[in-house]
Amino acid sequence: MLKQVSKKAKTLAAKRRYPLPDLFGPHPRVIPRGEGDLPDEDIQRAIEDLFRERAAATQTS
Amino acid sequence: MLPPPKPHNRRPPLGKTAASYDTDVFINCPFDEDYRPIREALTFAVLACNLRPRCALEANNGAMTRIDKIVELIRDCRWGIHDVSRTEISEEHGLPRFNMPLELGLFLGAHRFGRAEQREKSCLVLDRELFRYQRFISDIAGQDIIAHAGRPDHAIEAVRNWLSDELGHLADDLDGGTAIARQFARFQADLPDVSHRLNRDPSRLTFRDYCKAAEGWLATDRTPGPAS
Repeated sequence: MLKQVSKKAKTLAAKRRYPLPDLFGPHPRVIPRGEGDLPDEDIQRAIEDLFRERAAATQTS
Repeated sequence: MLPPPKPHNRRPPLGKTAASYDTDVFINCPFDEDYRPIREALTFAVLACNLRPRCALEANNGAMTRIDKIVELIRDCRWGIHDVSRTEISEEHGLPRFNMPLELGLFLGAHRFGRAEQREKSCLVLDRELFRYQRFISDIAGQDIIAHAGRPDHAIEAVRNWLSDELGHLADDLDGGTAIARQFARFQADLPDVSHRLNRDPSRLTFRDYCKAAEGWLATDRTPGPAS
């Protein structure tokens, strides 16, 4: 069964005329910021602060 | 006199495909509060698979009608996730809401009749129960239709497995569906704290802010060292 699926996937892949995306490539993961959206650096800072404080609390305990 | 600033999110002219076509995933789902856990799970799963979620909740261009916006999103996305689980009789009107099946139909139409790159489209159809769709939209039999049973972890696994099937070895390094579901649960638990630091209600974050928070959280969580 698994072999059949794999064969089918390979056949489909061979028929593709457009390349598949490089998932780990440098493409944008989020749409550009628009009106009403928070600044990127504020969001990133909030996340990093949370992780930092949690790591510090873990070390203390 | 200075020229007017260029819009931040310039769209390609009608008929042209966006440069990000191959990495953009159109999420066609309900926007109500009850559905929010699944919508956020789908968004998170797309980000965890390193693709870019797109949906009609993106900042509005007031000049566009809703259907124009949907058509543009469909044109710009190679991938589509369509949740038809809310196609049900409304208590208020006694009629079903049919926006999700309509948008699924547009996506399938673009796939069938569009230019070469549009014919590369692939979609995942989600519903609450397997085979429920046969009672209201039986013509879609033959598509990938997966039941999520109203569970975010099932929805995440469905998205991850679908992309893995589509992308083959390119998806080998992605985390598994269960691992992504666990990350999602941890992110959702952290979201109120992150939102509080941003003076925002977590349920009122814009679609873009939610995506940016999830993207930043995933990147920080994956970074080895004290942060993880």
